[in-house]
Amino acid sequence: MKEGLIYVFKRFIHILIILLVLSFIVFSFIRLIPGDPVKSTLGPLASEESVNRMTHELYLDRPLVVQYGHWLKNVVTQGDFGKSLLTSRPVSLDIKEYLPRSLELCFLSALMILVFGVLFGTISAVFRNTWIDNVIRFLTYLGVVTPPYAFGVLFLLIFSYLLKWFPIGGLPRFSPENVRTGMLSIDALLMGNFSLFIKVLQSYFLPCLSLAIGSIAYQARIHRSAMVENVNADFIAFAEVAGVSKSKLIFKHLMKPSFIPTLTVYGLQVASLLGNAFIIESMFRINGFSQYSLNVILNKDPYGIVAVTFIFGVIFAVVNLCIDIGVVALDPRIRLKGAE
Amino acid sequence: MLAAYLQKLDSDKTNKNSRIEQFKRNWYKFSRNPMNIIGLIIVAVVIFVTIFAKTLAPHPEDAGLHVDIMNAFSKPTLKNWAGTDEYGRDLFSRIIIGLRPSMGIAIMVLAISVTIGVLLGLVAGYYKGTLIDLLISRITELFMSIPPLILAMVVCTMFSNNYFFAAIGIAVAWWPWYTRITYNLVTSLSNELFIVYTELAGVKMMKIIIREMLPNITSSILTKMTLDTGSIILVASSMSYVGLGVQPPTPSLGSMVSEGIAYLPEFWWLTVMPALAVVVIVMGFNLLGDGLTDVLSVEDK
Repeated sequence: MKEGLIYVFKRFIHILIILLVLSFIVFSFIRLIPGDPVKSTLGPLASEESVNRMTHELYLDRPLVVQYGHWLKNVVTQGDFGKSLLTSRPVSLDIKEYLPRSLELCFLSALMILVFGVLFGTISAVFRNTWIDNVIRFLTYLGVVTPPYAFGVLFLLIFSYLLKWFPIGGLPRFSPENVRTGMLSIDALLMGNFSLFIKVLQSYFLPCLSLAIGSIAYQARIHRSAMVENVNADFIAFAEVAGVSKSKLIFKHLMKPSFIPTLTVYGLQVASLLGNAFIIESMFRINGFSQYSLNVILNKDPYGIVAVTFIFGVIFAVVNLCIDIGVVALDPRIRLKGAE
Repeated sequence: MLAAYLQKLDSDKTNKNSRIEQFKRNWYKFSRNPMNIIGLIIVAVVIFVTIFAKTLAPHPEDAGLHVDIMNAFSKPTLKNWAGTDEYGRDLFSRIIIGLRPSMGIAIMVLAISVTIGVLLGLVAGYYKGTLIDLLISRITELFMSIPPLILAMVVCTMFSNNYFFAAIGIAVAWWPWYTRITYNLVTSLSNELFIVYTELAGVKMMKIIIREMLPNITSSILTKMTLDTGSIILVASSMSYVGLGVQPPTPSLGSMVSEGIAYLPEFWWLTVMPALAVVVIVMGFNLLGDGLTDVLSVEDK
């Protein structure tokens, strides 16, 4: 236990340093943007005085280190990420509005990836080299090579336009006093409105599936090969000789070690969900964080870009830390090595 | 002198023969799986079509701002294999011509990221355990700490939103993976007996890396490059979906899909056809890459 804690602590410090360096690099990078972002926002008719005032307000006329220090201080003490030129309000407000919806989308997708990826991978491995295995392997191959937007188009055509099982896009609207967490499904439950909750899940189903299906396929392939590799391991042969029942053999002895590669890949997949979601968000008209970050990037909004990359870095790091903890819990060898 | 030369010539000849033998053996293994052959054919066709796109396209003028309203929204027919779009432009021609920028971006990204990635990986592996190794692995980690698509988009918009900087942007996000794979290969190779013996024989480390290690990692790198071509085409099409990269009226596979969404569900071919093209191309590169992995990894054993 102790060496596990040391390992996690070490990783945590490591992540903090990476995030600091990352935000500093993005800051210096933004100074390199050709053209003055303030001038392009205020338009050509703006007076020189107002441009100067805005530039001063945004700390863009101070040395890089001073600007960065000021920004970091505000982030740490007040959670203030500066002012967005695009929406002309604090970036933190934008994040508070858009992020929960995207997190909800990604969380539901991540759940789908874990459940279906492991399920299909296990079925494929248990029935390996039979027709069931072959069908699953063929479908997962298709899943890996197809871009998420193609799945989005396909699902929209079949399930929304043709069969009319799901809405064509958009999410149910909430009156402002009912928005508490920003995550629609939780808000609906907090309101005690169960039919609304079902409606929210229904609107999320197709975008989540389109976003997740490539990763489900990939996850299933990884899990299958991990399980097949372990089938020939000595400890499985021993367990079999010792008379362990088949279901116990599969679900206890085979599943646990097979989860190590699965979890590592799962971490990468989940961490990149949010970054890949912008097409799905625009296709299904979900006004979320990915869409927002795309707009911020396209409009070269300096504080917006810093905040967005910072948030992405945090999410990447947190997901990876969770996965590391999971792997450490599963494999004592890595635990001991990491604490050295 | 002459004897030594003749001997060398002789050994070169047997070397060449054994190489041909090995190639034949590998080809036999490769060709036994029909999936590998399908992959090879798709990739060959894609490369051929990319090179001769302008001559092969039935309506090359449709790549630009050509308008033929009489023919707008025609279903896939014998004349227009993939149908026509809202301006009456032949979709099949546009898909073929849209292949060019996708392949161009993939080639540029691979050229840049393999050069930088493999070089840094070799250097880090060579100076393993020193400050240089630490520095390189930290930089690699930094570039891997935000989603690749976001990094590519930031770089692309910062400089200039065109085809060239889209490739630069993807390359910036891509090279760390080559550094990592090269580093892992080099560090695992350095424990192999033949490397240890060459070291003991007093051969310089730099020479070992170039003469002994580099030839041994090329097959892994080449396989990864084949698989990555498909992934890069996917990423590039995702970027062009939101308008990053190739600018209209030049067609690109991603932007064709996004423009077609507005015309769902009646004019489904506007989205389905270019999306299908992406799927087939990426599948071709993946099948070929998997086939190469199988053949080469068996050979390693």
